[in-house]
Amino acid sequence: MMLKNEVKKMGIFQLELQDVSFSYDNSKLILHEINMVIESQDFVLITGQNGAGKSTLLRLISGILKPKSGTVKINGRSIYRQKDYFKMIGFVMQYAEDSFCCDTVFDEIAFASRNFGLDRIEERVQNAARIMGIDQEAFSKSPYDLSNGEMRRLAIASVIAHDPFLLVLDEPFVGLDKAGKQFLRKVLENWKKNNRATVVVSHQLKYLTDLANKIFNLQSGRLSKVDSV
Amino acid sequence: MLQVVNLSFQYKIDKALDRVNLVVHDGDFLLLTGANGSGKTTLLKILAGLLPVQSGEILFDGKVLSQNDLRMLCGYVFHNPVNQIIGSTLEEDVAFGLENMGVPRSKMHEQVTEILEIFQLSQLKNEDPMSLSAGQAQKLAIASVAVLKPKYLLLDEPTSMLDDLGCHQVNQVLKALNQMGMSIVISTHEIYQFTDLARRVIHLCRGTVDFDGSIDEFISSPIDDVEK
Repeated sequence: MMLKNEVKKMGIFQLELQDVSFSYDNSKLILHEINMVIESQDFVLITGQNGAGKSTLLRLISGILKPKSGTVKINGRSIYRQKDYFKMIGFVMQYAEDSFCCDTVFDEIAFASRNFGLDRIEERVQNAARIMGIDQEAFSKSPYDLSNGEMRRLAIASVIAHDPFLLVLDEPFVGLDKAGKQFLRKVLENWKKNNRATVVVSHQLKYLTDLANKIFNLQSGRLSKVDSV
Repeated sequence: MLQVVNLSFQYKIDKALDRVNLVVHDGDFLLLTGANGSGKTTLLKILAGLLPVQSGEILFDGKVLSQNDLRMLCGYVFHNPVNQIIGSTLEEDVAFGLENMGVPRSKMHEQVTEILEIFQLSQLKNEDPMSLSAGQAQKLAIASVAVLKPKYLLLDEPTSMLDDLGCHQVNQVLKALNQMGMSIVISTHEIYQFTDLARRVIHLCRGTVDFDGSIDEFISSPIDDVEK
């Protein structure tokens, strides 16, 4: 059985990082022996100064980077042997436009779902757009004609559409106005209620601390669990 | 004095700016704010000569400016620093603009060294810019434009990715640049980050200016779509 179907059926999602270390150039370690468990309904907030390794850690969780040592496992199995791991992850990069590759907003939201061979594309796009407050009138626009905040909402809609189990968000509030931030906060609350997990790196702590059940601080590549920020 | 007169701009579908009028005085430290889609980035890009003036005009000391004039007068820092990083090291990246302007090598080295020190990036000068964190990259992007000493420095959400220390460092640098006579225009949703520095706020609503006044007046105004 494919991993995503298995997780869906059992209702258990557990991602575990065991002693994960990472270096971009084999000389300087960016992350040192990171240990972390993310389960269904977890809302994980990662804080830390610029350059601490937060975005690198998110890329490892998303399977975009491989650790130099240590393992990343999903339900006890290495993520690198699971062909459909990416179907379970929705990763939104720091800069929304970095992930855009389509000519229209509709195609951008549909992109991952189409590539994963999923069905009901129209319905998925409509649903993700509704969740993220994207008007249907915007469907024919170029993603690059949107404002910074609209791009951010589009990037999140694009990963929600394929219905992942884990949302990985790198500074999701950047570019959003006050109403946009409050709106996204509500979206994340609902996401959690739907038994889905979230990992967020953000400096906008006031929107997130009371949502998070696990808070970590990353300092010079070393992760420590904290009670509050 | 930079004067924007009846400036309008239309993308394929949306009208982004509708008869905008404003003035940026010499030495201004100005915040440009408004909800998502209000036209802030479009306005900055036109001032920087990255988008054309479709309708209306922009004047400097009474003279109408071409798109090319604007490029020489204004330095623009993108929201996403990666959009403007070109060099294979930080030092090369900061030097790029100066090199293209034909600044002599010895002078260039001096200016690059100085700006890297101001931005506390000297230790990283031989690093690949792509290996920087978002916050460090944002500082590099500002340094690479500031080194050209434009009369007007336009910044699109320059501290959005920065931690408290990074914000403080950038603010100190912007304060110094402003004191040296550079006019600063910042597009932001987070007014509170610049309250010690900014003197004026312009608020855009659906492509038109609906507030232009002091920061204190703005904070006490009923406008509530940005974080004061």
